[in-house]
Amino acid sequence: MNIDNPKYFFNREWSWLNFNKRVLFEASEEQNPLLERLKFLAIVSSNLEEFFMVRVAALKKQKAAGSKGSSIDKKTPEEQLAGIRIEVNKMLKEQYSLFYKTIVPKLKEHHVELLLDMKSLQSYKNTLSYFFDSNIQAVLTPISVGPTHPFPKLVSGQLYIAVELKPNKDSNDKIEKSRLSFIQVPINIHGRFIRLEEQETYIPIENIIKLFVDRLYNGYDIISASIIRITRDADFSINSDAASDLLTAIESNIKRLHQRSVVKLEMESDISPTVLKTLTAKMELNDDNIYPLKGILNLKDLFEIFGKVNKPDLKDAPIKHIYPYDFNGKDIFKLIRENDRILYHPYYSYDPIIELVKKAAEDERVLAIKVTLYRTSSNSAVIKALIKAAENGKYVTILDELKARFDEKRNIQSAKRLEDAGAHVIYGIAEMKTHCKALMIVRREKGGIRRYVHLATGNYNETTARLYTDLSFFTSDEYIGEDVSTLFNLLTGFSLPTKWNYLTAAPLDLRNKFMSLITRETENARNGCKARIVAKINSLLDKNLILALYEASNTGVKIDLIVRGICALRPGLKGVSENITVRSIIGKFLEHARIYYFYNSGNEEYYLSSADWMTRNLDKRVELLFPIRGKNEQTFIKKILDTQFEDNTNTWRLQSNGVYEMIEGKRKKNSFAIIEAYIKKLESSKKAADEKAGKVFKPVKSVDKK
Amino acid sequence: MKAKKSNLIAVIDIGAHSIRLYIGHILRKGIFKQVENLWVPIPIGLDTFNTGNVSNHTIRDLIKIIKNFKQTIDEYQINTVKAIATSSIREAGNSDVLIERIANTTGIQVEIIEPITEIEVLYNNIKKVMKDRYGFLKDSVLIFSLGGGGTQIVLQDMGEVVFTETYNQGTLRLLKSFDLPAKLFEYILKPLAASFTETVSHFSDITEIIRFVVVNDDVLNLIKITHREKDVQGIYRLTTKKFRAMYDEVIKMGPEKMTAKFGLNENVSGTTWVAFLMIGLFFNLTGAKEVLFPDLSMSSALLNQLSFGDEQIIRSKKSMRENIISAAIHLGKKYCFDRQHAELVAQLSASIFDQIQEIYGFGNQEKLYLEIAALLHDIGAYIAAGSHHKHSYLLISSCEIMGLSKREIKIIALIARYHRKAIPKPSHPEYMSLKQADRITVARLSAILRIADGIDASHLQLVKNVKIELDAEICHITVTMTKGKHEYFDVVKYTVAKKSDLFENFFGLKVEMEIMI
Repeated sequence: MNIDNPKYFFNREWSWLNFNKRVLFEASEEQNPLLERLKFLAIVSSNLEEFFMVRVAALKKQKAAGSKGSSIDKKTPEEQLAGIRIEVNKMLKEQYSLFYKTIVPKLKEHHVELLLDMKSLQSYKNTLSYFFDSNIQAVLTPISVGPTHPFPKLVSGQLYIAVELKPNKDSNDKIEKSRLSFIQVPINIHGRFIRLEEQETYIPIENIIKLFVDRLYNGYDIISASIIRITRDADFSINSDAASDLLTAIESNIKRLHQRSVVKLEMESDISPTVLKTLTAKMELNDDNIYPLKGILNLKDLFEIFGKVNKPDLKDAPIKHIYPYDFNGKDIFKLIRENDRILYHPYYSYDPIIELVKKAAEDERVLAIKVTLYRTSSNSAVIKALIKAAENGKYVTILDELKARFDEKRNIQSAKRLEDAGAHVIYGIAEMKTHCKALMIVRREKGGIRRYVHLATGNYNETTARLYTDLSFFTSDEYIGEDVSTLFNLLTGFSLPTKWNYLTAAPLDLRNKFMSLITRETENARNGCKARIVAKINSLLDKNLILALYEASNTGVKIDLIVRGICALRPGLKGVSENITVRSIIGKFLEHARIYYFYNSGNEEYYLSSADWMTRNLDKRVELLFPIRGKNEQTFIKKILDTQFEDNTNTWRLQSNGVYEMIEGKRKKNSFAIIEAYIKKLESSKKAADEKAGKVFKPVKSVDKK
Repeated sequence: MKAKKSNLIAVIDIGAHSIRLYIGHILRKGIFKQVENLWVPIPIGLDTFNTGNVSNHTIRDLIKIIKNFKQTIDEYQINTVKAIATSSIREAGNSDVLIERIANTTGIQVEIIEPITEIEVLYNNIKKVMKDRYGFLKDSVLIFSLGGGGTQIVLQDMGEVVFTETYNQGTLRLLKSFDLPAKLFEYILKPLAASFTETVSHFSDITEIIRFVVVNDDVLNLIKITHREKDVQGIYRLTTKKFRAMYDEVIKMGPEKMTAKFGLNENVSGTTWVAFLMIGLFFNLTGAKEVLFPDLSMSSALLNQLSFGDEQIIRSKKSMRENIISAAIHLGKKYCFDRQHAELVAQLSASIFDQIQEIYGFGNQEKLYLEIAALLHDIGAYIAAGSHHKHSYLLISSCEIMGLSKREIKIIALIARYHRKAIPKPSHPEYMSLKQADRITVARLSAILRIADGIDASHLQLVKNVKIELDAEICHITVTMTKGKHEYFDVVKYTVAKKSDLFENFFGLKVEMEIMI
């Protein structure tokens, strides 16, 4: 049987849309607190936006170029775009219906009111009028279209009011007449939603502007005013072979973003046909790119409501990030020297990592700190500590990946600040994204040079570390240290790789490593031995790896996968993948840790990685795979995996027909809660043991509270 | 931050196709741990071997790399830095400019080292790694050090150096200097092989070479990255079968496929490929059953030497002295010397030297020069008895002995030259081309050699001991004759008197001789 057949693969875009549907499902889950459900609506929109900016944009370009595309299931770009349109429309319909018919009314029951239509504003007209005059009008700049005013370059993602005008009798004959004008909706000052004083009542700012739009156009009658929003292609690749030019290249790319082609136009469904005609003509759009919406645009901004509404009972209880007991009041270097450590965020606090960098910045024996930054948070404590270190005369080397999508601007700002402090900043490797997450501290100690290493599945970003599940691994192992040093020498261009001890790096040999790990299980199964593969990843898309997994399945290797997002592998097909199961966990936190497990004839191997099983991770990015060899650490990871496989609250199981079915059980098992409780217990038992042994107990401290 | 005393040492090795930074943490003398090992390919040799100069473009790249290395060195706060360069820069017409530019922009002073120093440093480390394993100290061993621009071999027997030889042929030079199809390389290499076989044939004690030790960065690297073999205490041992398999695979693949398959740098795959050819060729010339690859490079070897605390490239003196003497004896054998005479003259010279060393402030190294010159003073007779001192000069100055630099070889050759006939004169250009200090060395050591040679002028080893006593005006020499007829007394007295001219001239002492029985 030939397993290399398009029908044995799921389409990438289709699979992604399916993932977003599962996110949307969370918004419909009644057991989720109401504001959390609202947040899931926002996530759905945010995800969709990125999807259009990158995936749809790329498909459109393929289509325009007449390419057949490279889809794993051999679908043409046309077919895929048509499919996407159908699915997206369905999804939007469901999202809006959920929002308007369920969430908004339920919020009202809890005295949180969203006034979303124009009619509902009438009773507040006086208040709003005052607010408009005193707070909004001054920042509005209508951009009119006329013979000497060309059609403006609208900014991607921004809300605009398209105003259809007709000069009236007051109009001044001497000035140029416009028929169409745009007002960019200002959301930077007051936010998207204006809260009425003393109440939990919110009004979208664009509706307030619409209400008084006539005040902006003297001499004109307003024929219509509709909200529109465009999304532009953001799928740019940097063509530069000298890394030093990257900064400039990316900066100019950001500057040119507003000139890129439009991939989507959203507007209120009651938009005037004249205006729509002008818009589609000017932006070279056809019906496929147009999404009329019955309701307010850009539900992504609902994040703001989530943040502004002060009703803790409508939100998940905030997680108490546990500070690992061992780290309390101990010299962190000594701690890592004694034992490797592993932390699972966000259950565990991210503070130890920040403390490590802070400590290194001040420690006089520390010679150098090296770190890869991919997406850092805007006011990053890690960057602050790195700046401090550079000022203290440490050699600070930062590999700042400017090409991290949608974060380019922020990346450049932080890079410049670091450079000013005297750090050695490298802007990535040309043609390649540096996606691995590694931190190395070089310290001169009595016995010589010792390297303290932190390797992770998540970025050095305190904000996402509160929301994403990621694993952090601390070690002072000499050989891993050597490998990480090799990695940095490679990234800085100081050296070509020599020999790796334990780490495997993409794009060098990570693909081969995964292949050989899978093949080893296949061989074992073929020889009649027990064989098993477990992987917990974000996406599974690489065809060669999928084929290797199919082959493994066919020889009897038991393969259990937890793939949060895109999965092109079709599980449970007889003769292809009957020994493979695929689950997806969507819930309270974004599942982000990548864990790989291989039975290896009983000599079990656990790996963590920054890489998914996607072609781009293996061939186009710098990624790391590192083994976890300590028994305690392995047990910890095993516990996480076991708990997730038992989950029947947040888990979907992918069927061979492509349908994701919710796993249900009589006794509810929520892996998020179980892991949280497990870690809590683990830490308190450590504390109890110490107390019993009469050791001094020091109060828990955290970076934030200091 | 205040710089503390560092026990870290950095070595920069500028090779023919790559440049390497090796940082070691010295635990104690001769024992160190690798802290960093950086390398960047840069085909300097390509410029030098093709055009005779290193191009401006390459110099700029080179400086950029060294700047990066310097940053790493500063990062570790290292004070002890040694930078060396070999053939690719040694042979470049613009080497002075290049070294000056590197020094100006990076503060790193690059030192050019001679091939014989290269092999000396490597050899010392090979010995350390090999210890007495794999028959290293008892069998005949061919040590084959293959670089980008040059090849050095050491033939060792019973733990003693038989000879060393440098071929002006390396992997990169070979790869680039012939514009011929790759399949012909094997034939291009034939003369090299023939020359080696020819050299070996002069050493009659060497019947079969049964051990083969190879030093080559490229092949070592390939063994490491492909995990073909695990090292056993610093040695990768490839059996004939394994080596053949790897050889066949690599040769068949060719450089281009190697780049893809092993993820090698392009330049490196080319030289690795040639390295296999050359190693294969020499392996065939031996009767060895395995190829031994010690896990060392020029930089780690140099670092090891530096760990002894001296910033100069020092020699582990005792064993090196033995090596030099054994190499000299093998050289003597090659030219069919009268070994008993040579050894006696060496012994008498050494004895005289020892007795006047303190008074005249001789250095230890000078004694070695004297002994070697004494051992080899007559080898010119191999060419013709007439003017054999001049032939000796030629033979010695064109040979190489591991542990001795070109300058030192020249000094020794001149000492041998002045063992008879004319004494040093301003009209002798070879002598005058030396620095003054070296001229003094030659003069006073040949003065001693002449007397020692005079004592055994009969080549019959009649005399055993020599005793020297100096007073204000006279040097009293007392020798003890152990055999031979009384008539020889006069002969010895006569020859010594005749050959004391230089001694008297140089030291200003009249030589008077007494013979005891």
